[in-house]
Amino acid sequence: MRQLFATVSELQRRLAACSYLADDGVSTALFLAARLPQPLLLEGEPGVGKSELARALAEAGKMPFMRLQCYEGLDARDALYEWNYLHQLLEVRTREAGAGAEAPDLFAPRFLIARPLLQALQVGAGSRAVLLIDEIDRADEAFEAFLLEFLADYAITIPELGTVRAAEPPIVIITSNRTRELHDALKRRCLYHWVAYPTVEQELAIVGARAPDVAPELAEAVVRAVRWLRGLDLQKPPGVAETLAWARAVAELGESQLTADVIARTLGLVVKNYDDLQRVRALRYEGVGA
Amino acid sequence: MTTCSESGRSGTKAWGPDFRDVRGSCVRFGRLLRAEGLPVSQDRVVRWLKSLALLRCDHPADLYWSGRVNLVSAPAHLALYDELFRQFWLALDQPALAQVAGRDGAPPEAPGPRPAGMPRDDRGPEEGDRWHVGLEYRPPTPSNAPPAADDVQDVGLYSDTEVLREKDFAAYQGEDDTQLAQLLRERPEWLFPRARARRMRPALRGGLIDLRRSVADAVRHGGDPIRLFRRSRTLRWRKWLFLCDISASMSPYTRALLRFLQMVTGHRRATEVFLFGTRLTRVTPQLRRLSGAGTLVESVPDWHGGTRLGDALEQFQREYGQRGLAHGAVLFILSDGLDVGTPGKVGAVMAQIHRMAQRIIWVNPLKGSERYQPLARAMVEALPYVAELASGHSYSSLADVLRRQALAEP
Repeated sequence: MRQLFATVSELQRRLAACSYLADDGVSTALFLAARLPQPLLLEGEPGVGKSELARALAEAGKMPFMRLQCYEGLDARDALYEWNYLHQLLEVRTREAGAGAEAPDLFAPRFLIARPLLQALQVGAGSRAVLLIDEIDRADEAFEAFLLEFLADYAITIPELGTVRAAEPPIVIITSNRTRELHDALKRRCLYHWVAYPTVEQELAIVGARAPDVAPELAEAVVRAVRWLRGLDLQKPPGVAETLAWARAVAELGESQLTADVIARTLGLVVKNYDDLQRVRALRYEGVGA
Repeated sequence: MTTCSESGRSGTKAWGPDFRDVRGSCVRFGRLLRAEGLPVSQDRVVRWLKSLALLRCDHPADLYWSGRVNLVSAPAHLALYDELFRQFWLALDQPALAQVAGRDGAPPEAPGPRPAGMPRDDRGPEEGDRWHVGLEYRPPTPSNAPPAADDVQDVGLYSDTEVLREKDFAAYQGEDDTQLAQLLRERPEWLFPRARARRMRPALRGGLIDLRRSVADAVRHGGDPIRLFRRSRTLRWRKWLFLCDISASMSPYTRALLRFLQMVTGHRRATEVFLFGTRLTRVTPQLRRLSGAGTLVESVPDWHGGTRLGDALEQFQREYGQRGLAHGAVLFILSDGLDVGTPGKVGAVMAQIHRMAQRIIWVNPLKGSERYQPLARAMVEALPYVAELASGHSYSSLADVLRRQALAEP
């Protein structure tokens, strides 16, 4: 197996080069996920960069990236593969019209539509896919059980074609927003990491890396304001994504300071719930100046 | 269990690391976590040892983080892991321990928000596990507890189940408990699935055309679509969430209500039960696991304290409701509405839940009395958002409420 990263610090550096600042915990988890190899289950508040991590890893390692967005009702034909029926029908008709001698092989790979899980196994030799299974808590429990099977041997059996096996197992990253508790069997097979909100310093560095156009003073004001908002116990506390969007928006407006007026105009970018908005307005942004 | 014999046989110390034998120390640390209630299976420890070999472990942070990602899999357990890690690996000297905090100086003290359903006291999940994982755990019975089933006063008093169905839970005594247990063994016919599911199943008519099956069939017949297959959405269980008040004022009802909820949880999927007094705890897994209802009931008196309805509802909404649990659910609040919390809070949280849940049913045993009027402040605040204020003070009235819900679905 190709060694992607020799050490945790190297992984950390490569991620940083892709503008993803990973702390020790995340990078250790990721390093082990790639090397053991073992799927990595990431949980944390929305907007702390769980999905982004998979993308950054793929970029850092120049690996093909596949993403499976989970939703209620997700089933095998959306996750694994589907036959291209129209194409097959056309094939039958064409052969009939042309009076072809041999019977058409309708279950050849060219009629197969690969979905993310199959795609992740089909990357060429010498390359390893990063497979992001996003928001698994949205899929129903049956899908979780189905996933166990896939994660056990990284192989998919297509009755008409045979078993597809990955030359090298993909690096699997599963995220969950904890709308429901995942099954123990799945948790047991995964490495686990809780992604917490970054510290002020970390978040400042993130803004610096991701939104370099924002002046440092403004970035600091925004980060501190967001931190204050998180402390308010809002229904929907702002994530890192909101911090970035807010900093960029204020800079875009040509403002260099986070005055009460600027906040009032842009608050919708960070506080996305009516009750929360009312509360923050009632507090008159007292914590922001501090 | 095995710990005694093993430590006796090998003679190694059961506590603290031995740096000549890191592997052994790791295994002992895993055993310690297990003893403290974390689900640390053997394969996780083995994986941890593999990880350490990969990491070459030249830094205490490697030990901390590799252990954490391998051994822990719930935010609820992070605080306990941190605490035990500190204690167990204490032999790491202070500077080294400080380094464990992270190469960047980021302290591991912030393992994210406190987990759902875990108590917020200092002892953390460990204490919680004792009182809610082990429903077999029997706390000392306080003097004001209702009489247990075995000190029967009315020996020979015949309690017909038909009478019992109508009897106020608060008036239960002696044999009634056992009779109720029998009554609850019947599976009510009205517990069945009643909400549209997203997943499609083959269907005879209606729904969408199942292209996969239809075309596959057509291909088999030389490309002529002979039969059309269809698929449609099935029914699934609508979520039922029960928030049961276990404060002192509810104590005459708690035992019977819990037994009832256990019956519902046992028969019906998509049911969640939370208990609250001053804080909220999810007990669904415990109710599912337990076979004898008695053991749960025995441990109930220990919980009776004050009520902070607003806080409990808010905690529910924050940790479960808005994460998705309350969406499209029927929420049953089982409480007398006597509340010592901040005025206005109940109303505010009820409004939030109201926007997410399909409907809110308030079950108030006090309503069983003819003279009852919903005047308690929390009740007044909550009423605008409540679809139905039911009494639920007896088996039949409670069963009625649920039956109406089950039958009200499409």
